Amino acid sequence: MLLTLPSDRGNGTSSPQDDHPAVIDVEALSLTVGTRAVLRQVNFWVPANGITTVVGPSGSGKSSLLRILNRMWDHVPRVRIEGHVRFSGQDLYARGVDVRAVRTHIGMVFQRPTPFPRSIYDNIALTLRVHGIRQGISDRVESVLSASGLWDEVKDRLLASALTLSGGQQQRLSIARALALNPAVLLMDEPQSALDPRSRDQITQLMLTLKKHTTIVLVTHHLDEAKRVSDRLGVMVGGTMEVFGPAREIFQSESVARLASATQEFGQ
Amino acid sequence: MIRSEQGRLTSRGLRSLVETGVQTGLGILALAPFVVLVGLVGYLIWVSIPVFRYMRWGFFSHIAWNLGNLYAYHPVLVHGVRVMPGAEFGAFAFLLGTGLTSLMAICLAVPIAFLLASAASFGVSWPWRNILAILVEMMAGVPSVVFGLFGFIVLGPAIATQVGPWLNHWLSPIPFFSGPVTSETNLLTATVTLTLMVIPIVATTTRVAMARVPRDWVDSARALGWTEHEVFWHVIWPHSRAALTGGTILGLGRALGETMAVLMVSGNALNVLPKNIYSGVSTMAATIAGQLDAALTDPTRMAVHALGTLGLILMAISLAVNLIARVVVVSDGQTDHAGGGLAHGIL
Repeated sequence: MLLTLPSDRGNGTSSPQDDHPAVIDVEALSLTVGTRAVLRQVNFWVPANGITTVVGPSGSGKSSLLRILNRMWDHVPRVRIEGHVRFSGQDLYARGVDVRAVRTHIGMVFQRPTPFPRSIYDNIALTLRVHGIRQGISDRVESVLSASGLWDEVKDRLLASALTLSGGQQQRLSIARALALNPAVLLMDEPQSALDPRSRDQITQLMLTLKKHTTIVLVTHHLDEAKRVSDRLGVMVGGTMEVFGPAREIFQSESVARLASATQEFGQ
Repeated sequence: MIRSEQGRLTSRGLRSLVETGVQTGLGILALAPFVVLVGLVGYLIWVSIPVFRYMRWGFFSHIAWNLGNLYAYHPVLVHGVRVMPGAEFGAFAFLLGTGLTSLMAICLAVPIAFLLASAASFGVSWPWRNILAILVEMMAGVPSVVFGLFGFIVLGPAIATQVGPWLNHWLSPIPFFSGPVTSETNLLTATVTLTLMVIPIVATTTRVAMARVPRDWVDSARALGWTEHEVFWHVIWPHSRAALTGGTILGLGRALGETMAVLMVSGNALNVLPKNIYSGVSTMAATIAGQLDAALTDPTRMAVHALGTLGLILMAISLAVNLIARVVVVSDGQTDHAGGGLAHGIL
C-alpha cells in the first residue's frame, strides 16, 4: 500500500499562496472523456479541517473534478487524466497507488442518498467488516450515527431496513457510513440537492460540525448554501477554475455574483 | 340552439356506443387466454380418462410402453376400455428421462450461466462485456433443431469417443458414471445439448438484473474502498439472486418441454431405464413427438390418448414449476427490489 495515512493527515505540501497545509493539491489537471475535454488546466488545493466548496453551473465539471479526487473515473472507459492530484504530498495517480487505500482515506457522499437495502446497522457494520474490522463494530456504529446526528432517531430500530428511513435520514446514514472508515477527507457531491428544505438544513448543520475534525470538499450549485458553510471557494465555469480563494473574500469581491448572474444562478 | 344541443347529444351517444363496443371487444379478447387454457386442460383430461381407467396408477409406475398386438382381429375390453391385446402404457421411464435430463442440464447450466452473466455485467472490461452480452443473447435465439443437429453431429461423437470414456475412466467408482459408452445419442448427449439451450436463458435473465443494479449503489460501494470483487458480492449479487432463481426456473421450463433437440440426441429408448449417463433415454416431450406416428396406427386410439396423458403430466409439471418460481421469486423479491422485480416481470 503506497498511501500511509492518517497519521500524516494534513502534513502535506503547502500551497505557495497560503501558509495553511494542503491536504489535497491539484495542479494543471485536465480530464478528457472520449474526445470531450471536461476539465482544462485546473489548479486548486484543499486545506485541512474546513469546507472547500466548488460551485458552478451544471456541466461546468465540478462533479467530475470531485470524482477525480478519489479515482472514481478508474471505472469509466476512454478517460484520460493529465496533471497532478496530490493527497498529503503523494500523487494519487502515481503507479502502484492502492485505490482501496485512496478511497478509505478520501470518502464520498453522493447527490442522492445511497443506503444499501440492508438494515441501518448493517449499512455501517458491513462497510467495516469488508475492511477486515471485526472488533468494536457496535461502538463504531453508534459513534458514527451520533456524529451524523442520526443516533437518537434510529437507536431503537437499528435492525430495520435502511430503506424505511426518510430521504434526509438516508443521506445522513450515507454520511455516517462514509465516516465509519474515519476518512481524512470527505467529498460531498451536492449532498442536499435531492432533499427537502428541513433535511437540507440538517445536512448543512452536520457539515459545520464535521468540519472541525474532517476536511470536506463540497460541490453545490446553491450559492446560499456555499456562502453558509464554505471556508474556501472555487468557481468553475466550462471546465476551468475561474476563481479560487477564501470564501469570504470571493463573496465580498462580487465575482461570484457576477458569475451567478452570467450563468443564471447556476441553474440546473 | 336546440339543434346544437341535439347535435352534441347525438355525438355523445355515438361516442359512448363506440366505447362500449371497444370495452366489450377487449373484454372478450381478455377471456381468450382463459378459454384456451381451460379448453386445453379440459381436452387433455378428457383424453386421459380412458388411459387411467385402463392403467390405473400403473401409468406412473410401469416402464413398458407397448401398443399391443395391432394385428389382432378384435380389440379387448379391459376395465370398460377398448385396447389392443397386450397394450401397456407406462410413463415411468419418460418421467425419469425428463427429470434426469432437465435437472442435470440445470445443474450444469446454472453455474456457467452465473459466471457468464457476472463476466458480461462486471467481470470483463468494456467493450468485451457488451460483445459477450450480445453473443449470449444470440444463443437464446438459435432454433432448437439447430442445437439438436449440433448435438447429433458434433457433441454425440465427441461424447462417445472422448468425453464419455474420460468420465468413465475417472469417475467410474460413482455408479451412475461407470459403464461402457456404446452410443452417441444418450443421456449425457441430451443433457449437454439441453445445457447449451438453457445457459442463454439463465445468463441473460441474470445479466439484465445485474445491469439494473443502481449505479449509485455500485459507486458508493466503490467509494467506500471496496474492491470490485467485494462490490459484486455485497451489492450486485444480492440484487440479482432472485433473477438467477427466476432464470433457472425459466430454463427448467425450457428443458422440461424441449422436444426436437432431445428427440435427436437422447437415443429414444423405450421400455428401459437408464443404467448410467451413457444409456439412451427418452423424455415425455420427445416421446409425444416421436411416437405419434406409431400411435395413430392403433385402431382403438388408446395410444394417442396415452400420449395426450403424457402431455397432461408435462403441462402439470410445467405449471407447477412456474407456480413454485413465482412463490420463490416473490418471497425473495420482498427484500430485493431490483432482481426480484425483474424476475417477477419475466415470470
